[in-house]
Amino acid sequence: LLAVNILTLTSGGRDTLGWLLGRASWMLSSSILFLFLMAQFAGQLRFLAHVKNTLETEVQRRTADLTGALRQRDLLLREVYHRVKNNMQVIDSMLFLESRKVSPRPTPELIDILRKRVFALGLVHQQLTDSRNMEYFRAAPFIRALVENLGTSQAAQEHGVTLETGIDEIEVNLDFAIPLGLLITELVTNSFKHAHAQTISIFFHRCGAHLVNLTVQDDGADYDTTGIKLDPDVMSNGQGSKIVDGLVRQLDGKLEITRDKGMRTSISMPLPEEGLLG
Amino acid sequence: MSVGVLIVEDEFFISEMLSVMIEDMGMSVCGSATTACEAVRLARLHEPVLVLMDVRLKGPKDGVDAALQISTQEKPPPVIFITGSQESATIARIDAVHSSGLLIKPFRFEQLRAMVEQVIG
Repeated sequence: LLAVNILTLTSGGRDTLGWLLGRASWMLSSSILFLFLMAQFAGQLRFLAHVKNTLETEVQRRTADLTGALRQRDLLLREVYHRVKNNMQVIDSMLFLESRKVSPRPTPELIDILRKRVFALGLVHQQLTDSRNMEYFRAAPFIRALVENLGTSQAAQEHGVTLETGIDEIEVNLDFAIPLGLLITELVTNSFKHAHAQTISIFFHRCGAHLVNLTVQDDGADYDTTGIKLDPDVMSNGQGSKIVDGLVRQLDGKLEITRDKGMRTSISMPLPEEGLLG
Repeated sequence: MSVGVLIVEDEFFISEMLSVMIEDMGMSVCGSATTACEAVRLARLHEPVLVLMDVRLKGPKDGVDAALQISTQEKPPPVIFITGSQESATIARIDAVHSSGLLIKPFRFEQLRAMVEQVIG
């Protein structure tokens, strides 16, 4: 094109070869420019179309995410309502059963154990609220808070009783934690009744791929603080109270009670699957 | 002919309360199960006059599954469902197994008694 343009400039007259070539050159140049601009334009269009597609996909993905999250939230909320209602029924059942006991127990003691059980239920819900996925939470802070409350309400310090815990890093869910919390409440409360108990230990350890063990032991005597001897059945055939038995059964656990220096209750139970990831 | 009631409930305290309530009505409890499998087995074994069935149970199967299986046995007992869930999906499944009654948790003794009397007369 450059050569043609030079030829055009050097030659003068109309209808000469230079003139013709000049026109052809102009036509060609403007065509090339036109094509170039069109190509640029098409490129821009393609780019815009691509951006539009990407944005649309992104919006669709985000909408799907949000819809999913909303559905998940609804499901979770309904689940929570269900659990709360179920636990209200558990509390009502406890009150009903205690009100039906033939031999009247001292009222403060009765109210005290009921309050402890209700506290255990409430604590599970509190731990769930703080958990990362609203489903599983760490057993250690839960058990420690539970035991601390039991110690406070029994005035452990004033009575010279030390509570100690040894807890593995294990995650638990509500279905597991409710009976576990109630079990610890019953066992620790029982240990406080054993005369001369100075240390009450609560251990929660992993003892197999899908197995955990809860052990509550004390160094008290085999009679209670008022001098009444403990139920001999408890010592001889390794049976716990009806409530302890029932909770162990709810957890599919195996109960073992031994008496050496004090009383030792050991319960082995399977752990819900995901808890092992903890 | 047994006059026993089978209780299917995985929550210990609720199960205990149901037992006491049934005994208060002058009936006896012939068994208590915590899983669907156990419920089906005990229903075959004891031929209860009534089954009180919690919907959510331990294990992979729920109370509706258990009731379905129990309904296939010879002379199936009536089943009263007890559930904390009012989800339409659950209610629809309960309706599909021809339940004799449905109690929503939390319920009162009088409600249970009225329903039991209505079901087994």
